[in-house]
Amino acid sequence: MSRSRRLRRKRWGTRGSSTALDGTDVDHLAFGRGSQDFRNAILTERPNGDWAFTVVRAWLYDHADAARLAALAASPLGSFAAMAKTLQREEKYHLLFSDAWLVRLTRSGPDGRARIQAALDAAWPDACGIFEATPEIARLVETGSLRSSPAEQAARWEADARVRLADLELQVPAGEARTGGRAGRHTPDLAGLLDEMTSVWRTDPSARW
Amino acid sequence: MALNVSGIWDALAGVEDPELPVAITDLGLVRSVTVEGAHVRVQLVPTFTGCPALDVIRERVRGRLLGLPGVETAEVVFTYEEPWTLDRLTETARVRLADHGLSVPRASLAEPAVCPFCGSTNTVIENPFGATLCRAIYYCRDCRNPIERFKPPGDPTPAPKS
Repeated sequence: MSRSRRLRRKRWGTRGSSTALDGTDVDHLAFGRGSQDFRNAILTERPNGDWAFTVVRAWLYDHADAARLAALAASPLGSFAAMAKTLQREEKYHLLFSDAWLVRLTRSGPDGRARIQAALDAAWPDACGIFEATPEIARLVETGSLRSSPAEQAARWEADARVRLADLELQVPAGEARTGGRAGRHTPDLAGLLDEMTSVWRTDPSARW
Repeated sequence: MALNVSGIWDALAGVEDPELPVAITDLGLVRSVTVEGAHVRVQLVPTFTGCPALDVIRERVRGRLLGLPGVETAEVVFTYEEPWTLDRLTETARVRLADHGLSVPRASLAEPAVCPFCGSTNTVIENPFGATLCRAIYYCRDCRNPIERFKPPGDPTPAPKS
């Protein structure tokens, strides 16, 4: 998911007012927080620079997002499930885009394949961290608001991803999931990213745009 | 003066989408209009959740409603209970989108894209993400023009069996 899309979603969540769900100003929520206050998976904070990595990251994320949306769409909470179903219809285009690029680069020749494999080796442990369990999500599962746990969602995502990667003759690396991001423990990459993303806002946080 | 629902629909037909030269009623964005005394409630169905035009549409609708004689309060809400689909487009919307240079699929994006310039279906998708969330970029292999196609959200997912 692109950074701008994440921000737009956040904005949508405020229903057009200038106050965020937690009572703070939305601009402060988007631009004024320190990296420890972000709850994104580590995969999403890695820097851009190599197109093969960007494609592999998007592919891993989009399929994980699809698995998560499927779990949310099955929620007994009606409005929550309706929202997830709407997002599933949009997710389709993200999958179309990243599937097409993964296949295109992997089959482009030995150089493309080697770069995609190297990107997969780098990104896979981070991708497994997308489904990191948090106390908040555990509570949703306990209360029945969410019918499958992050571990169950991860298992479905991983099984599907392994089949797709095997079809392309790509090797899934061994290794543990890199977690921490969903609990606010990030790599130094996030601070660098936020530094750049918030540079305009920080020149005058009181400005009205 | 008593407000009537059909008068409100007529007024909403004068509200244009900020990104397309089409009335929101022809785009099928209006789901329901209810009137209680001097209070009007309008439910809208967005095409895409992240559409940056949503706030503008909401304000335009609210402004139009509050400008009507007899309306004291107006409530505009977006609903996701019902998906937006291509069959919500009126024929007027299809004609206006075509005049605007957009190819518009009949029922789904999976159909071959018809080139709005030469009518050919010898077209190929370049990118599902175009200038706005509701447009994709194609290329016409016959007249060799890049073309834009109106992009609906993917087909609704069938409800899981419980």
